[in-house]
Amino acid sequence: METTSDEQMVERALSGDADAFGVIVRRWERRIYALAFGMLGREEDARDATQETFLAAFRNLRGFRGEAKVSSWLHRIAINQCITRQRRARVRAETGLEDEAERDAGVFTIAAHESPARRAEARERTEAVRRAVSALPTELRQVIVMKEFEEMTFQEIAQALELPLSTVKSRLYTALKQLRMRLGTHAAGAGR
Amino acid sequence: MKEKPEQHALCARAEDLVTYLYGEASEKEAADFKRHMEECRSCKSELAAFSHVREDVVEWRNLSLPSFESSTAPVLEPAVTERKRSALAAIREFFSLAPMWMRAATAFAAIAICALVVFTVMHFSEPRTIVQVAPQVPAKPQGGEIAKQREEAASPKEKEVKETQQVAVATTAPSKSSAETVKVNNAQPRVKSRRLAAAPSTVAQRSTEKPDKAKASKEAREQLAELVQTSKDDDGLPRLSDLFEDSNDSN
Repeated sequence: METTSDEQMVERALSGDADAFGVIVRRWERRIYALAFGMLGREEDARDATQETFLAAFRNLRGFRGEAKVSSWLHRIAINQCITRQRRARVRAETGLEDEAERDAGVFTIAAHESPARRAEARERTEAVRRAVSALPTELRQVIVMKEFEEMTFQEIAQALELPLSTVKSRLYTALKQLRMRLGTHAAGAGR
Repeated sequence: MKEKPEQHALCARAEDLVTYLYGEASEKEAADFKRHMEECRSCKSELAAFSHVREDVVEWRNLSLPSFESSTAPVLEPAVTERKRSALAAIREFFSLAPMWMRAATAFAAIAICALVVFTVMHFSEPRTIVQVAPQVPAKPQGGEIAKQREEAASPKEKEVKETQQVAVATTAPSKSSAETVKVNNAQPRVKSRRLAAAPSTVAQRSTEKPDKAKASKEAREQLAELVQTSKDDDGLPRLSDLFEDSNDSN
């Protein structure tokens, strides 16, 4: 079962195998969640986006033509879901339906054995990183998240986003440069 | 000291820097970029700064994603199944997961243990069989030759014991039959010391079955008992004769 490719599983799902799509979900849910979390920065949003991604994939299963990999197809759906959610959230924030500070509040698991000062420092740093990543343009954010959260290779990212390899590298370079500028004070202040 | 990126002129090898940073450069490309960094201050500075940025992003990821990993069902399912697993299933899993050499070694060890058990069982049941066969040895004409060969092979200590016994028998029982009996009995320790341990009961049985050999004197039996005792003391090891002493006494 595990050796069957994703593309074969899609074919099975299309031919009426009810479990086939479940296998695809189990294979990819973690990575899609990681992508959504990196893009959205909130656990709850990431869960919803992951769920909507697989729901959209199941609905459009017949639209999968097999020209690209299933993983690339799922990544594109997930990124679109994240962009849509961010757009909606921005509208809600602008219309005052949601508190901006509350929406941006990230959930971090910091070890309880750390000292209060250390925990506060870690919380501050991770929050700064989350804000810096969230502030990146979507096309830069998606490459940095795919690279750092999903640990995809440049080639995999290029396939998933249907971009030339050099574009992926240059976008990643730009993303790192922008993050460095935003986190510059911290990086230099840490003395590492 | 804070280093502003704007202070450095942009290098044309930005893509190479990223490829090197994420470890996707080939050996040749990596060596080439290292050489470049020795001359390019901009790339060297950016590489260090980007490494710090990466550390921060990865730390954010590590702090954020554990809650997701611990709350997903697929992780918990195998752990629950594993707890219910039987010993047989565990052995099966071991054989399916273990490398070939480990399987072979385990199988070999199992066979070796079985062989050892069988050998031990056979070894301890061996004297009874020999007890039945031993009386026929002197009846054969070759018995003397075998005894001679064994005598030659016997250790000096055994020879000494034998000579002492022969002298004792010659003085107490000069008859042919008794001498023959002693000779037969003396042949036993040379066959195997543990076989000898069973000899007293053998002699007792034979003396009741065959009239001529029944004339074997009581002294001869005593000599035999002494011989058994001597053999036992030779190497200090326990002998089966201890077990037969009771039966000998009863006879």
